[in-house]
Amino acid sequence: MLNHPSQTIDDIPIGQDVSSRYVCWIVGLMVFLLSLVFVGAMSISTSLNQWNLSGSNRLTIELPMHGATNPESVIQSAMEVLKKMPTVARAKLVDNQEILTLLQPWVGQVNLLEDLTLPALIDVDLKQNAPLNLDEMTAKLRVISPDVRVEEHSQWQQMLEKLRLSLEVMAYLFIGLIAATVFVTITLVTRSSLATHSSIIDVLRLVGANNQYIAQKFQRRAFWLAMKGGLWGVIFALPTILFLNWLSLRLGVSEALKPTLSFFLLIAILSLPFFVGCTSLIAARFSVLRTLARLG
Amino acid sequence: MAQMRQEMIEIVRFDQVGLRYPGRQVLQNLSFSLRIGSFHFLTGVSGAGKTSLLKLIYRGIIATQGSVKVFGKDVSRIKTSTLPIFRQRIGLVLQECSLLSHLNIVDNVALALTITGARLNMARGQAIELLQWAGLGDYLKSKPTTLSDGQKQRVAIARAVITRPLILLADEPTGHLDHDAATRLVHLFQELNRIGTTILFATHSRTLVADFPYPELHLSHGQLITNSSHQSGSRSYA
Repeated sequence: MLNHPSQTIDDIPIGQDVSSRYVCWIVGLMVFLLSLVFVGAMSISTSLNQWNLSGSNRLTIELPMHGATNPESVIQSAMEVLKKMPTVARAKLVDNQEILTLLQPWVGQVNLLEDLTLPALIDVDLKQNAPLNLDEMTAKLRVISPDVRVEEHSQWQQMLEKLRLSLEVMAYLFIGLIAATVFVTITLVTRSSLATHSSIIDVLRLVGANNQYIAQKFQRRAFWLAMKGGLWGVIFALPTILFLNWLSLRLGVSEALKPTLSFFLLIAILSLPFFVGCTSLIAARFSVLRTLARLG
Repeated sequence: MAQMRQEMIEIVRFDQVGLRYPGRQVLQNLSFSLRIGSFHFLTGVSGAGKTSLLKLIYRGIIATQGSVKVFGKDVSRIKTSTLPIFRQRIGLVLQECSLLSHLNIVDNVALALTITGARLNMARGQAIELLQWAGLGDYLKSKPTTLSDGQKQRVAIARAVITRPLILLADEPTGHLDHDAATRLVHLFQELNRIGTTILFATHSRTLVADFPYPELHLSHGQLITNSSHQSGSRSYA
Protein backbone atom coordinates (compact mmCIF):
# COMPACT_ATOMS: atom_id res chain seq x y z
CA MET A 1 0.00 0.00 0.00
CA LEU A 2 1.26 3.44 -0.81
CA ASN A 3 1.98 5.76 2.04
CA HIS A 4 0.52 9.22 1.43
CA PRO A 5 0.84 11.59 4.35
CA SER A 6 -1.21 14.50 2.96
CA GLN A 7 -4.98 14.69 2.60
CA THR A 8 -4.89 16.69 -0.62
CA ILE A 9 -2.93 16.26 -3.79
CA ASP A 10 -0.30 18.95 -4.23
CA ASP A 11 -1.23 19.28 -7.89
CA ILE A 12 0.06 22.87 -8.19
CA PRO A 13 3.47 22.97 -6.44
CA ILE A 14 3.15 26.60 -5.34
CA GLY A 15 5.34 25.90 -2.33
CA GLN A 16 8.35 25.59 -4.61
CA ASP A 17 7.95 29.08 -6.07
CA VAL A 18 10.95 31.29 -5.45
CA SER A 19 8.86 34.47 -5.55
CA SER A 20 6.56 33.34 -2.73
CA ARG A 21 9.52 32.79 -0.38
CA TYR A 22 9.93 36.56 0.02
CA VAL A 23 6.27 37.11 0.88
CA CYS A 24 6.86 35.89 4.41
CA TRP A 25 9.70 38.34 4.97
CA ILE A 26 7.93 41.28 3.35
CA VAL A 27 4.74 40.73 5.35
CA GLY A 28 6.75 40.17 8.53
CA LEU A 29 8.60 43.46 8.11
CA MET A 30 5.38 45.33 7.36
CA VAL A 31 3.61 43.91 10.40
CA PHE A 32 6.62 44.77 12.56
CA LEU A 33 6.59 48.40 11.40
CA LEU A 34 2.82 48.59 11.62
CA SER A 35 2.89 47.35 15.21
CA LEU A 36 5.41 50.02 16.24
CA VAL A 37 3.60 52.87 14.50
CA PHE A 38 0.23 51.70 15.75
CA VAL A 39 1.35 51.38 19.35
CA GLY A 40 3.18 54.72 19.21
CA ALA A 41 0.27 56.64 17.73
CA MET A 42 -2.36 55.02 19.92
CA SER A 43 -0.31 55.49 23.10
CA ILE A 44 0.03 59.21 22.47
CA SER A 45 -3.62 59.40 21.55
CA THR A 46 -4.62 57.69 24.81
CA SER A 47 -2.41 60.02 26.85
CA LEU A 48 -3.95 63.03 25.17
CA ASN A 49 -7.37 61.69 25.88
CA GLN A 50 -6.53 61.35 29.56
CA TRP A 51 -5.45 64.99 29.74
CA ASN A 52 -8.55 66.08 28.02
CA LEU A 53 -10.15 67.43 31.17
CA SER A 54 -13.82 66.94 31.48
CA GLY A 55 -16.12 69.84 30.72
CA SER A 56 -15.42 72.96 28.78
CA ASN A 57 -16.84 75.32 31.43
CA ARG A 58 -13.51 75.73 33.16
CA LEU A 59 -10.85 78.39 33.11
CA THR A 60 -7.29 78.58 34.32
CA ILE A 61 -5.90 81.85 35.58
CA GLU A 62 -2.15 82.17 35.36
CA LEU A 63 -0.59 84.80 37.64
CA PRO A 64 3.11 85.34 36.84
CA MET A 65 5.13 85.59 40.05
CA HIS A 66 8.47 86.88 38.81
CA GLY A 67 9.09 90.28 40.35
CA ALA A 68 6.13 90.04 42.75
CA THR A 69 7.06 91.41 46.20
CA ASN A 70 4.17 89.74 48.00
CA PRO A 71 2.93 86.73 46.03
CA GLU A 72 0.49 85.68 48.73
CA SER A 73 -1.36 88.99 48.62
CA VAL A 74 -1.56 88.90 44.80
CA ILE A 75 -3.12 85.44 44.94
CA GLN A 76 -5.46 86.43 47.74
CA SER A 77 -6.68 89.49 45.84
CA ALA A 78 -7.22 87.51 42.68
CA MET A 79 -9.20 84.87 44.56
CA GLU A 80 -11.43 87.54 46.08
CA VAL A 81 -12.09 89.13 42.69
CA LEU A 82 -13.02 85.77 41.23
CA LYS A 83 -15.31 84.71 44.09
CA LYS A 84 -17.27 87.94 43.77
CA MET A 85 -18.07 87.29 40.12
CA PRO A 86 -21.59 85.80 39.58
CA THR A 87 -20.45 83.36 36.86
CA VAL A 88 -17.77 81.73 39.03
CA ALA A 89 -18.93 78.62 40.88
CA ARG A 90 -15.57 77.77 42.43
CA ALA A 91 -11.99 79.06 42.37
CA LYS A 92 -9.15 76.89 43.63
CA LEU A 93 -5.46 77.58 43.83
CA VAL A 94 -3.36 74.81 42.27
CA ASP A 95 -0.47 73.89 44.54
CA ASN A 96 3.10 73.73 43.27
CA GLN A 97 3.36 69.95 43.48
CA GLU A 98 0.32 69.60 41.28
CA ILE A 99 1.83 72.01 38.75
CA LEU A 100 4.99 69.92 38.65
CA THR A 101 2.91 66.79 38.13
CA LEU A 102 1.11 68.46 35.24
CA LEU A 103 4.39 69.46 33.64
CA GLN A 104 6.04 66.08 34.12
CA PRO A 105 4.62 64.43 30.95
CA TRP A 106 6.08 67.23 28.84
CA VAL A 107 9.45 67.89 30.43
CA GLY A 108 10.23 64.52 31.98
CA GLN A 109 12.62 65.37 34.80
CA VAL A 110 10.79 67.83 37.11
CA ASN A 111 13.77 68.44 39.33
CA LEU A 112 15.02 70.77 36.58
CA LEU A 113 12.09 73.08 37.39
CA GLU A 114 12.66 73.34 41.09
CA ASP A 115 14.86 76.42 40.80
CA LEU A 116 12.40 78.29 38.58
CA THR A 117 9.70 80.64 39.86
CA LEU A 118 6.51 78.99 38.80
CA PRO A 119 3.42 81.06 38.10
CA ALA A 120 0.41 80.68 40.38
CA LEU A 121 -2.45 78.83 38.75
CA ILE A 122 -6.08 79.16 39.77
CA ASP A 123 -8.61 76.66 38.50
CA VAL A 124 -11.98 78.25 37.99
CA ASP A 125 -15.24 76.32 37.59
CA LEU A 126 -17.96 78.32 35.90
CA LYS A 127 -21.65 78.02 36.58
CA GLN A 128 -23.59 76.06 33.98
CA ASN A 129 -25.25 78.27 31.35
CA ALA A 130 -24.05 81.45 33.07
CA PRO A 131 -23.01 84.24 30.64
CA LEU A 132 -19.25 84.76 30.84
CA ASN A 133 -17.63 88.08 30.08
CA LEU A 134 -14.02 87.07 29.66
CA ASP A 135 -12.82 90.63 28.88
CA GLU A 136 -14.37 91.97 32.07
CA MET A 137 -12.76 89.21 34.14
CA THR A 138 -9.37 89.78 32.53
CA ALA A 139 -9.60 93.55 33.10
CA LYS A 140 -10.39 93.11 36.80
CA LEU A 141 -7.47 90.69 37.28
CA ARG A 142 -5.03 92.94 35.40
CA VAL A 143 -5.50 95.56 38.10
CA ILE A 144 -3.94 93.02 40.52
CA SER A 145 -1.42 91.42 38.13
CA PRO A 146 -0.79 93.20 34.80
CA ASP A 147 0.60 90.07 33.06
CA VAL A 148 -2.26 87.79 34.06
CA ARG A 149 -3.41 85.17 31.49
CA VAL A 150 -6.90 83.77 31.40
CA GLU A 151 -7.11 80.50 29.47
CA GLU A 152 -10.29 78.82 28.43
CA HIS A 153 -9.86 75.04 28.65
CA SER A 154 -12.11 74.51 25.67
CA GLN A 155 -9.52 76.13 23.38
CA TRP A 156 -6.68 73.72 24.06
CA GLN A 157 -9.12 70.87 24.59
CA GLN A 158 -10.13 71.34 20.96
CA MET A 159 -6.51 71.42 19.89
CA LEU A 160 -5.76 68.26 21.83
CA GLU A 161 -8.80 66.58 20.41
CA LYS A 162 -7.69 67.48 16.88
CA LEU A 163 -4.21 66.17 17.59
CA ARG A 164 -5.63 62.96 19.09
CA LEU A 165 -7.92 62.42 16.10
CA SER A 166 -5.06 63.13 13.68
CA LEU A 167 -2.91 60.52 15.39
CA GLU A 168 -5.69 57.94 15.28
CA VAL A 169 -6.42 58.69 11.64
CA MET A 170 -2.70 58.38 10.90
CA ALA A 171 -2.60 54.98 12.65
CA TYR A 172 -5.60 53.73 10.69
CA LEU A 173 -4.22 55.17 7.44
CA PHE A 174 -1.02 53.29 8.10
CA ILE A 175 -3.02 50.08 8.54
CA GLY A 176 -4.73 50.84 5.22
CA LEU A 177 -1.37 51.50 3.57
CA ILE A 178 0.05 48.22 4.85
CA ALA A 179 -3.09 46.36 3.75
CA ALA A 180 -2.80 47.91 0.28
CA THR A 181 0.90 47.00 0.09
CA VAL A 182 0.16 43.41 1.15
CA PHE A 183 -2.66 43.26 -1.41
CA VAL A 184 -0.44 44.49 -4.25
CA THR A 185 2.47 42.23 -3.22
CA ILE A 186 0.27 39.13 -3.06
CA THR A 187 -1.39 40.03 -6.37
CA LEU A 188 1.98 40.32 -8.12
CA VAL A 189 3.34 37.14 -6.54
CA THR A 190 0.15 35.24 -7.43
CA ARG A 191 0.29 36.43 -11.03
CA SER A 192 3.91 35.35 -11.26
CA SER A 193 3.00 31.98 -9.75
CA LEU A 194 0.10 31.56 -12.18
CA ALA A 195 2.48 32.17 -15.07
CA THR A 196 4.99 29.67 -13.65
CA HIS A 197 2.34 26.95 -13.33
CA SER A 198 0.32 27.80 -16.42
CA SER A 199 0.91 24.40 -18.03
CA ILE A 200 -0.30 22.58 -14.90
CA ILE A 201 -3.32 24.85 -14.67
CA ASP A 202 -4.14 24.13 -18.33
CA VAL A 203 -4.10 20.39 -17.56
CA LEU A 204 -6.29 20.82 -14.47
CA ARG A 205 -8.81 22.87 -16.41
CA LEU A 206 -8.76 20.30 -19.19
CA VAL A 207 -9.68 17.52 -16.78
CA GLY A 208 -12.51 19.62 -15.36
CA ALA A 209 -11.08 21.72 -12.52
CA ASN A 210 -13.12 24.87 -12.03
CA ASN A 211 -11.64 28.28 -11.32
CA GLN A 212 -12.69 28.16 -7.65
CA TYR A 213 -10.69 24.96 -7.17
CA ILE A 214 -7.56 26.55 -8.61
CA ALA A 215 -8.12 29.80 -6.69
CA GLN A 216 -8.44 27.82 -3.45
CA LYS A 217 -4.92 26.44 -3.86
CA PHE A 218 -3.41 29.91 -4.25
CA GLN A 219 -5.50 31.65 -1.59
CA ARG A 220 -4.73 28.98 1.01
CA ARG A 221 -1.03 29.33 0.33
CA ALA A 222 -1.18 33.14 0.44
CA PHE A 223 -3.12 33.05 3.72
CA TRP A 224 -0.62 30.83 5.51
CA LEU A 225 2.43 32.65 4.12
CA ALA A 226 1.05 36.00 5.30
CA MET A 227 -0.02 34.53 8.65
CA LYS A 228 3.46 33.13 9.14
CA GLY A 229 5.10 36.44 8.16
CA GLY A 230 2.64 38.34 10.36
CA LEU A 231 3.37 36.13 13.36
CA TRP A 232 7.10 36.70 12.96
CA GLY A 233 6.44 40.45 12.70
CA VAL A 234 4.45 40.38 15.96
CA ILE A 235 6.97 38.14 17.70
CA PHE A 236 9.68 40.71 16.99
CA ALA A 237 7.45 43.75 17.57
CA LEU A 238 6.27 42.88 21.10
CA PRO A 239 9.71 42.71 22.72
CA THR A 240 10.76 45.77 20.71
CA ILE A 241 7.85 47.76 22.14
CA LEU A 242 8.66 46.59 25.66
CA PHE A 243 12.31 47.51 25.07
CA LEU A 244 11.37 50.98 23.82
CA ASN A 245 9.14 51.43 26.86
CA TRP A 246 11.99 50.43 29.16
CA LEU A 247 14.41 52.68 27.25
CA SER A 248 12.06 55.66 27.50
CA LEU A 249 11.86 55.11 31.27
CA ARG A 250 15.64 55.02 31.51
CA LEU A 251 16.07 58.14 29.39
CA GLY A 252 13.31 60.03 31.23
CA VAL A 253 11.27 60.49 28.07
CA SER A 254 7.95 62.26 28.53
CA GLU A 255 5.08 60.06 29.69
CA ALA A 256 3.09 61.10 26.65
CA LEU A 257 5.69 59.77 24.22
CA LYS A 258 6.20 56.39 25.91
CA PRO A 259 4.97 53.43 23.84
CA THR A 260 2.50 51.75 26.18
CA LEU A 261 0.97 48.36 25.43
CA SER A 262 -2.61 48.47 26.68
CA PHE A 263 -4.87 45.41 26.58
CA PHE A 264 -6.71 46.83 23.55
CA LEU A 265 -3.44 47.44 21.69
CA LEU A 266 -2.16 43.99 22.58
CA ILE A 267 -5.30 42.38 21.15
CA ALA A 268 -5.07 44.62 18.06
CA ILE A 269 -1.43 43.66 17.48
CA LEU A 270 -2.05 39.96 18.07
CA SER A 271 -4.82 40.06 15.46
CA LEU A 272 -2.56 41.64 12.83
CA PRO A 273 -1.32 38.28 11.42
CA PHE A 274 -4.91 37.19 10.90
CA PHE A 275 -5.72 40.55 9.33
CA VAL A 276 -2.84 40.37 6.81
CA GLY A 277 -3.66 36.67 6.25
CA CYS A 278 -7.22 37.52 5.26
CA THR A 279 -6.03 40.42 3.09
CA SER A 280 -3.64 38.05 1.31
CA LEU A 281 -6.34 35.43 0.88
CA ILE A 282 -8.66 37.96 -0.77
CA ALA A 283 -5.84 39.32 -2.96
CA ALA A 284 -4.83 35.85 -4.17
CA ARG A 285 -8.41 34.77 -4.82
CA PHE A 286 -9.22 37.97 -6.68
CA SER A 287 -6.05 37.71 -8.75
CA VAL A 288 -6.56 34.05 -9.75
CA LEU A 289 -10.24 34.37 -10.59
CA ARG A 290 -9.62 37.51 -12.63
CA THR A 291 -6.75 35.96 -14.58
CA LEU A 292 -8.62 32.70 -15.25
CA ALA A 293 -11.79 34.55 -16.25
CA ARG A 294 -9.74 36.44 -18.82
CA LEU A 295 -8.48 33.14 -20.23
CA GLY A 296 -12.10 32.02 -20.68
CA MET B 1 -40.48 13.71 -30.09
CA ALA B 2 -38.43 11.97 -32.78
CA GLN B 3 -35.84 14.73 -32.60
CA MET B 4 -35.61 14.36 -28.81
CA ARG B 5 -35.07 10.62 -29.15
CA GLN B 6 -32.42 11.24 -31.79
CA GLU B 7 -30.62 13.76 -29.56
CA MET B 8 -30.58 11.28 -26.71
CA ILE B 9 -28.89 8.70 -28.89
CA GLU B 10 -26.51 11.18 -30.53
CA ILE B 11 -23.80 12.18 -28.13
CA VAL B 12 -22.14 14.55 -30.61
CA ARG B 13 -23.71 16.38 -33.52
CA PHE B 14 -22.04 18.76 -35.98
CA ASP B 15 -24.27 20.83 -38.29
CA GLN B 16 -22.53 22.74 -41.10
CA VAL B 17 -19.64 23.48 -38.77
CA GLY B 18 -16.84 25.73 -39.91
CA LEU B 19 -13.78 26.98 -38.09
CA ARG B 20 -11.64 29.85 -39.20
CA TYR B 21 -8.42 31.00 -37.60
CA PRO B 22 -7.13 34.45 -38.64
CA GLY B 23 -6.24 34.12 -42.32
CA ARG B 24 -6.96 30.38 -42.55
CA GLN B 25 -10.08 28.22 -42.90
CA VAL B 26 -9.37 25.11 -40.79
CA LEU B 27 -12.67 23.24 -41.02
CA GLN B 28 -15.62 23.75 -43.30
CA ASN B 29 -19.15 22.43 -43.64
CA LEU B 30 -18.74 19.50 -41.28
CA SER B 31 -21.98 17.66 -40.63
CA PHE B 32 -22.00 14.37 -38.78
CA SER B 33 -23.14 12.79 -35.57
CA LEU B 34 -21.80 10.16 -33.19
CA ARG B 35 -24.12 7.80 -31.42
CA ILE B 36 -23.72 6.84 -27.82
CA GLY B 37 -21.47 3.79 -27.33
CA SER B 38 -19.83 4.05 -30.75
CA PHE B 39 -16.11 3.84 -31.64
CA HIS B 40 -14.68 5.95 -34.45
CA PHE B 41 -11.30 6.69 -35.85
CA LEU B 42 -10.69 10.29 -36.85
CA THR B 43 -8.03 10.24 -39.53
CA GLY B 44 -6.16 12.70 -41.68
CA VAL B 45 -2.66 13.94 -42.25
CA SER B 46 -1.00 16.34 -39.83
CA GLY B 47 -2.68 19.72 -40.12
CA ALA B 48 -5.91 18.27 -41.51
CA GLY B 49 -7.86 19.65 -38.55
CA LYS B 50 -8.21 16.59 -36.28
CA THR B 51 -7.14 18.39 -33.12
CA SER B 52 -9.34 21.36 -33.94
CA LEU B 53 -12.33 19.06 -34.40
CA LEU B 54 -11.71 17.46 -31.00
CA LYS B 55 -11.29 20.89 -29.41
CA LEU B 56 -14.67 21.89 -30.81
CA ILE B 57 -16.23 18.93 -28.98
CA TYR B 58 -14.76 19.72 -25.55
CA ARG B 59 -15.14 23.45 -26.18
CA GLY B 60 -11.45 24.20 -26.21
CA ILE B 61 -12.49 26.50 -29.08
CA ILE B 62 -15.84 27.63 -30.47
CA ALA B 63 -16.94 27.11 -34.08
CA THR B 64 -17.07 30.22 -36.22
CA GLN B 65 -19.91 28.74 -38.26
CA GLY B 66 -22.68 26.17 -37.71
CA SER B 67 -23.54 24.40 -34.47
CA VAL B 68 -21.81 21.77 -32.34
CA LYS B 69 -24.07 19.86 -29.97
CA VAL B 70 -22.65 17.60 -27.28
CA PHE B 71 -24.97 15.70 -24.93
CA GLY B 72 -27.81 17.47 -26.77
CA LYS B 73 -26.56 20.97 -25.87
CA ASP B 74 -25.07 23.63 -28.10
CA VAL B 75 -21.54 23.94 -26.70
CA SER B 76 -21.26 27.62 -27.62
CA ARG B 77 -24.05 28.31 -25.12
CA ILE B 78 -22.35 26.59 -22.21
CA LYS B 79 -21.54 29.18 -19.56
CA THR B 80 -17.97 29.48 -18.34
CA SER B 81 -19.17 28.58 -14.84
CA THR B 82 -20.63 25.25 -16.01
CA LEU B 83 -17.79 24.41 -18.41
CA PRO B 84 -15.84 22.38 -15.78
CA ILE B 85 -18.90 20.15 -15.14
CA PHE B 86 -19.30 19.68 -18.89
CA ARG B 87 -15.63 18.75 -19.23
CA GLN B 88 -15.85 16.25 -16.38
CA ARG B 89 -18.17 14.21 -18.61
CA ILE B 90 -15.58 14.12 -21.38
CA GLY B 91 -12.35 12.13 -21.12
CA LEU B 92 -9.31 13.51 -22.91
CA VAL B 93 -6.17 11.65 -23.94
CA LEU B 94 -3.69 13.88 -25.71
CA GLN B 95 -0.54 13.01 -27.63
CA GLU B 96 1.62 14.84 -25.08
CA CYS B 97 -0.17 13.06 -22.20
CA SER B 98 -0.11 16.25 -20.11
CA LEU B 99 0.79 14.44 -16.91
CA LEU B 100 2.05 16.38 -13.90
CA SER B 101 5.71 15.46 -13.59
CA HIS B 102 5.98 16.24 -9.84
CA LEU B 103 3.26 13.74 -8.89
CA ASN B 104 3.41 9.95 -8.94
CA ILE B 105 1.10 8.22 -11.37
CA VAL B 106 -1.49 7.35 -8.71
CA ASP B 107 -1.96 11.01 -7.84
CA ASN B 108 -1.91 11.98 -11.52
CA VAL B 109 -4.92 9.74 -12.03
CA ALA B 110 -6.61 10.45 -8.69
CA LEU B 111 -6.57 14.23 -9.14
CA ALA B 112 -9.19 13.96 -11.91
CA LEU B 113 -11.52 12.69 -9.17
CA THR B 114 -10.39 14.92 -6.31
CA ILE B 115 -11.08 18.07 -8.31
CA THR B 116 -14.72 16.98 -8.39
CA GLY B 117 -14.69 16.87 -4.59
CA ALA B 118 -14.10 13.13 -4.11
CA ARG B 119 -12.31 11.99 -0.96
CA LEU B 120 -8.59 11.50 -1.45
CA ASN B 121 -8.41 7.93 -0.15
CA MET B 122 -11.29 6.82 -2.31
CA ALA B 123 -9.81 8.57 -5.37
CA ARG B 124 -6.43 6.95 -4.80
CA GLY B 125 -8.04 3.55 -4.38
CA GLN B 126 -9.84 3.87 -7.69
CA ALA B 127 -6.70 5.21 -9.38
CA ILE B 128 -4.71 2.18 -8.21
CA GLU B 129 -7.41 -0.17 -9.54
CA LEU B 130 -7.42 1.56 -12.93
CA LEU B 131 -3.64 1.62 -13.19
CA GLN B 132 -3.53 -2.08 -12.41
CA TRP B 133 -6.13 -2.65 -15.15
CA ALA B 134 -3.90 -0.62 -17.50
CA GLY B 135 -0.96 -2.90 -16.68
CA LEU B 136 0.91 -0.39 -14.51
CA GLY B 137 0.52 -2.11 -11.15
CA ASP B 138 4.28 -2.29 -10.70
CA TYR B 139 4.81 1.41 -11.29
CA LEU B 140 2.40 3.00 -8.82
CA LYS B 141 5.06 5.03 -7.03
CA SER B 142 6.74 6.11 -10.25
CA LYS B 143 6.79 9.63 -11.57
CA PRO B 144 5.76 10.09 -15.24
CA THR B 145 9.28 11.08 -16.27
CA THR B 146 10.53 7.56 -15.50
CA LEU B 147 7.95 5.86 -17.74
CA SER B 148 8.02 5.01 -21.44
CA ASP B 149 5.72 6.87 -23.87
CA GLY B 150 3.35 3.91 -24.02
CA GLN B 151 3.15 3.72 -20.24
CA LYS B 152 2.51 7.46 -20.02
CA GLN B 153 -0.37 7.07 -22.46
CA ARG B 154 -1.83 4.35 -20.28
CA VAL B 155 -1.68 6.68 -17.28
CA ALA B 156 -3.38 9.37 -19.36
CA ILE B 157 -6.12 6.90 -20.31
CA ALA B 158 -6.62 5.92 -16.66
CA ARG B 159 -6.90 9.60 -15.73
CA ALA B 160 -9.34 10.22 -18.55
CA VAL B 161 -11.69 7.37 -17.60
CA ILE B 162 -11.59 7.57 -13.78
CA THR B 163 -14.51 10.01 -13.80
CA ARG B 164 -16.51 7.58 -15.98
CA PRO B 165 -16.91 10.00 -18.90
CA LEU B 166 -19.63 9.50 -21.49
CA ILE B 167 -17.22 10.12 -24.33
CA LEU B 168 -13.48 9.65 -24.63
CA LEU B 169 -11.56 11.84 -27.06
CA ALA B 170 -8.08 10.65 -27.96
CA ASP B 171 -5.81 12.98 -29.92
CA GLU B 172 -3.00 10.98 -31.53
CA PRO B 173 -2.32 8.93 -28.38
CA THR B 174 -0.22 6.51 -30.42
CA GLY B 175 1.81 9.23 -32.11
CA HIS B 176 5.03 8.37 -30.27
CA LEU B 177 4.48 4.61 -30.09
CA ASP B 178 5.62 1.70 -32.23
CA HIS B 179 2.95 -0.43 -33.91
CA ASP B 180 2.77 -3.11 -31.19
CA ALA B 181 2.50 -0.61 -28.36
CA ALA B 182 -0.09 1.34 -30.34
CA THR B 183 -2.13 -1.83 -30.92
CA ARG B 184 -2.06 -2.65 -27.20
CA LEU B 185 -3.26 0.86 -26.45
CA VAL B 186 -6.18 0.56 -28.86
CA HIS B 187 -7.13 -2.67 -27.09
CA LEU B 188 -7.55 -0.64 -23.89
CA PHE B 189 -9.86 1.73 -25.73
CA GLN B 190 -11.75 -1.28 -27.07
CA GLU B 191 -12.32 -2.54 -23.53
CA LEU B 192 -13.65 0.85 -22.48
CA ASN B 193 -15.92 0.93 -25.51
CA ARG B 194 -17.31 -2.47 -24.59
CA ILE B 195 -18.53 -1.07 -21.27
CA GLY B 196 -20.36 1.72 -23.08
CA THR B 197 -17.91 4.62 -23.45
CA THR B 198 -18.18 6.45 -26.76
CA ILE B 199 -14.75 6.81 -28.34
CA LEU B 200 -13.37 9.17 -30.95
CA PHE B 201 -9.78 8.20 -31.67
CA ALA B 202 -7.71 10.59 -33.79
CA THR B 203 -4.75 9.09 -35.62
CA HIS B 204 -2.77 9.55 -38.79
CA SER B 205 -1.76 5.88 -38.84
CA ARG B 206 -3.46 4.02 -41.71
CA THR B 207 -2.18 0.65 -40.51
CA LEU B 208 -3.76 1.08 -37.09
CA VAL B 209 -7.12 1.91 -38.66
CA ALA B 210 -6.83 -1.11 -40.95
CA ASP B 211 -6.27 -3.43 -37.98
CA PHE B 212 -9.56 -2.58 -36.26
CA PRO B 213 -13.12 -2.87 -37.57
CA TYR B 214 -14.32 0.61 -36.66
CA PRO B 215 -15.77 3.34 -38.87
CA GLU B 216 -13.56 6.20 -39.89
CA LEU B 217 -14.04 9.95 -40.19
CA HIS B 218 -11.42 11.16 -42.63
CA LEU B 219 -10.47 14.81 -42.76
CA SER B 220 -8.72 16.35 -45.70
CA HIS B 221 -8.16 20.09 -46.08
CA GLY B 222 -10.68 20.72 -43.34
CA GLN B 223 -13.45 18.71 -44.96
CA LEU B 224 -14.95 15.34 -44.11
CA ILE B 225 -14.46 13.41 -47.30
CA THR B 226 -14.80 9.72 -46.49
CA ASN B 227 -16.64 7.56 -44.00
CA SER B 228 -17.59 3.98 -43.53
CA SER B 229 -21.26 4.32 -44.30
CA HIS B 230 -20.81 6.71 -47.26
CA GLN B 231 -24.02 8.52 -46.53
CA SER B 232 -24.59 11.83 -48.15
CA GLY B 233 -25.60 14.98 -46.33
CA SER B 234 -25.72 14.56 -42.56
CA ARG B 235 -23.78 11.43 -41.73
CA SER B 236 -24.67 9.31 -38.76
CA TYR B 237 -22.30 6.72 -37.38
CA ALA B 238 -23.27 3.91 -35.09
